[in-house]
Amino acid sequence: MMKYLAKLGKLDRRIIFLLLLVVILIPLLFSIKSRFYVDSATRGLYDYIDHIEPNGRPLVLSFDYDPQVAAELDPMARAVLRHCFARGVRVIGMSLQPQGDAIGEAIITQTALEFKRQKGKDYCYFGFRPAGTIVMLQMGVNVKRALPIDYYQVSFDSLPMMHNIHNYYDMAMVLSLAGSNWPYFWIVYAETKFKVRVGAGQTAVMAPDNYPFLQTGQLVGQLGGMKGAAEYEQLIVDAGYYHKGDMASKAMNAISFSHLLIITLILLGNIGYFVTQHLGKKK
Amino acid sequence: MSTNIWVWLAALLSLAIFSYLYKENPVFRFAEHLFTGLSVGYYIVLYYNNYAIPYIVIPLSEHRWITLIPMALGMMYLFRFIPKLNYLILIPIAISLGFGSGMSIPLTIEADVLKQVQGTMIDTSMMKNIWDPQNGLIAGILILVGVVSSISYFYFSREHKGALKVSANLGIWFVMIGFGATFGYTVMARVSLLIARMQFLFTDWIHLIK
Repeated sequence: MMKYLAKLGKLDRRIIFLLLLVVILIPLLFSIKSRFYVDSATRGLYDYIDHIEPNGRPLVLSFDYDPQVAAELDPMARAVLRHCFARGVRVIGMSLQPQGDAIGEAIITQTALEFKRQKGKDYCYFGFRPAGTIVMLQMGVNVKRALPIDYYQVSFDSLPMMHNIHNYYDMAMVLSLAGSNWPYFWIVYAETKFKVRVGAGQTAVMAPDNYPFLQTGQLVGQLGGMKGAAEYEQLIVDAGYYHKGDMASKAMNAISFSHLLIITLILLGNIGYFVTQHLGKKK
Repeated sequence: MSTNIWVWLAALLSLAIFSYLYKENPVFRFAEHLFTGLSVGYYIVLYYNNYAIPYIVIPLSEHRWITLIPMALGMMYLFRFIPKLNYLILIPIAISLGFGSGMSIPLTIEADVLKQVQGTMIDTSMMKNIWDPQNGLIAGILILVGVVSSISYFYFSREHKGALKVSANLGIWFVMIGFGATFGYTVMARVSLLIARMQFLFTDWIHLIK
């Protein structure tokens, strides 16, 4: 028995990969669904967006991420855009990360189509803007200079939605979806200097870094990883803004199952380690 | 199964990358190099369209000659390749450093230090909802104790003895709990990426998941 337990510490990593694949596929294939609680950080962001006046000041949605982390952040972008478009909240899309450029365009166009929203009137997309912190500062003084032409090479002045938008005071909030610390820079250069409200959608790896800013109110709310996206999907479905949960909601059970497996493996690994040590001492 | 050639391409490249989990192989290498090459090409085109056109080409075509100054400063970086003149790159570096420091230091102190210190303070509004996880009294006390004890662990000007030792040891506990939470989130992040790829392969590619 002790021998078998000692072997647990030396389990071939390929067996672990295979086990992980199986526990992920079972809930996905059999569509096992369950409800989950909504975190106060997600609720804070949802409530703030839910109180933005329709056809009033627009929300700035910054796609500050690359395809590597799109799995976690795409569902957030879709859920937030559905919430905005369903309520008639206007959206200014942009990206401070080079590869976020095309990601943002695809998501904002697809979601606008779902709600029959018009480009230039209900939303604008400016694509990638280099030198992120300079763009943040410039938007506080003169948006037109920071975003002179949109993604489709249309000039700022030719976009009806942008006619009365001069700086952050004409915007409801900035929501940065990022796999790195872009939300932190938005807090420093936009929230601190110009007092515009900032929200964050972060990969789970980065989410813990923002808790100090949530506690001080420097962030209105945060979506943390796939769970944050699933929570937002659930909130917009519960409120009747959208008819069903999307990819993140479907992934939640697979995440729970895989976490159970990882906890079990950590426990077994530790047992294996202690048994190996115990056997070593005996020898 | 999908009939879209791009879905097939994405699926086969995903499998090529996953093949590394078994062991290093030429198929994985091919996918890796393809990704690197594509990224470089994409960045060049993107920077030209989003940097050169709006900030150089358009202003110059509208006779805004002031654009030439930052453009000349930027081009000074190229003196790096001329040994006799490479000291000139110090000019744009000095301007960037001076501007960057002046811009970020006051804002960072306000956002990162003053507001955070303010956040550790306990006030009477916390009595309204003692158990609130963000703004309740218990959370406030925990944050105050956590911050003070963690900072005391990083105080190296005195030997950790007596009260300082007790505080520093408590600080280690707070730091460890923080690491644990971060690790838990990291596990979720990595698993999420795998799940999304599985959703793509089994939903968009072979249509096994509805």
